[in-house]
Amino acid sequence: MLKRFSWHQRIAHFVGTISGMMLLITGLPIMFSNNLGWVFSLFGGSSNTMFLHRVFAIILIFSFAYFGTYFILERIVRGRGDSNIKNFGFSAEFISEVVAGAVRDILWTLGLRKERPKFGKYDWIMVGDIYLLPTLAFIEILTGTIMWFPRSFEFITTNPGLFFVIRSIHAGVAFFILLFVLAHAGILHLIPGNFPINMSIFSGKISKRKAEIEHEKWVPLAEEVEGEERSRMSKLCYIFGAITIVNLIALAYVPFAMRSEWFAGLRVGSDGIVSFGLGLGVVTIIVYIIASITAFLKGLKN
Amino acid sequence: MRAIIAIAFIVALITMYPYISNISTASSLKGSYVFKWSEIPVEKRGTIYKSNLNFATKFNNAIKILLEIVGIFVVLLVIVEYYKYYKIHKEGVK
Repeated sequence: MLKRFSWHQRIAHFVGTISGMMLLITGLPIMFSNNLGWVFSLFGGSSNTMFLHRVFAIILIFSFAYFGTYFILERIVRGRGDSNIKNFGFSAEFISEVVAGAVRDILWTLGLRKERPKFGKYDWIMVGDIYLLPTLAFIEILTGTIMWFPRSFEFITTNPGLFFVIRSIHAGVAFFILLFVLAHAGILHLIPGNFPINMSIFSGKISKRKAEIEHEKWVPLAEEVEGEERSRMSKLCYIFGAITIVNLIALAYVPFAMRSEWFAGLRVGSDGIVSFGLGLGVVTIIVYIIASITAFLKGLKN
Repeated sequence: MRAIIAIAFIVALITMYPYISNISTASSLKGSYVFKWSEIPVEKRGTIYKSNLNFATKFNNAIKILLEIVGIFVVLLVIVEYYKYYKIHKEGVK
């Protein structure tokens, strides 16, 4: 087995995902009240749900500030170690490497290239995850803060209508994060070889055989650790993969059903496909929360 | 490493302090918490309301278009990536 993630990375992933997913569950019913009204009942009313939303917002803010500071300082003090992300990901060389890797990988997938490109510790989709999610979380924290303390922002006090623009951004990004979470789980957990859950982010370890297939360039740099390798090949992954894709198609339809209602923002009426997509999305996220807690506890034992 | 943990912890505590001290705020849309239209001088109110409304409508439409594009992109990405891992584990990679 190889050591793939540090303690801090594992805890950051766990705290960030649990708080983020709880924020989605407690926040999306505001935007989609016609379709997700049952979530308010689940938590005992809208006041309780909104209180929980703020509690999990504080947990997310804490983890964002703590782990953000920690990872930046750690990178400055210790260097990049076995990571392939150079210069915090802001160098033209690294960006072009990631883009080229993405293009070659997709071409190989589509059968337009013979050899699959070799990747370091993080392939292009993981690099995308690492940069996109904190960016989206930052937008949510910023817009959430403006809505929480509107009188502290002069542009709101002189233009009260802009409060609702901020709310639309907050809700729109939240919807994008819902798509992101389902896609992330579909790509990294429910795929053949990982199903039902990719334990490496919970246990911090990956089998050498799997790493040689997926992160070939990283293997010589990785630290060997003890641990038992378990082969994961279940045909059930195709059923769950299909459910995820159907869910994402239903959710991709949602913006087409949205209409602008001035200061009320983007609203959706009672639509069967929208209710199905959002309902299944929220139920899936509840299952992911339970799965994450179980996997984290299992990872602690290892 | 302990110094890094300590600095990160202090930064996180300072960052979350204003939120914890205001967690009981019932709703930012209730009471005197949010700025009200009535607090805008009456001679400016109409103009500001109209410009804010135009801006909000344009923004709503822009977000809608972005979400439409992102939704399609995410579906295609997941299908391609899922097929990629199917291919990796079925055919093996050299």
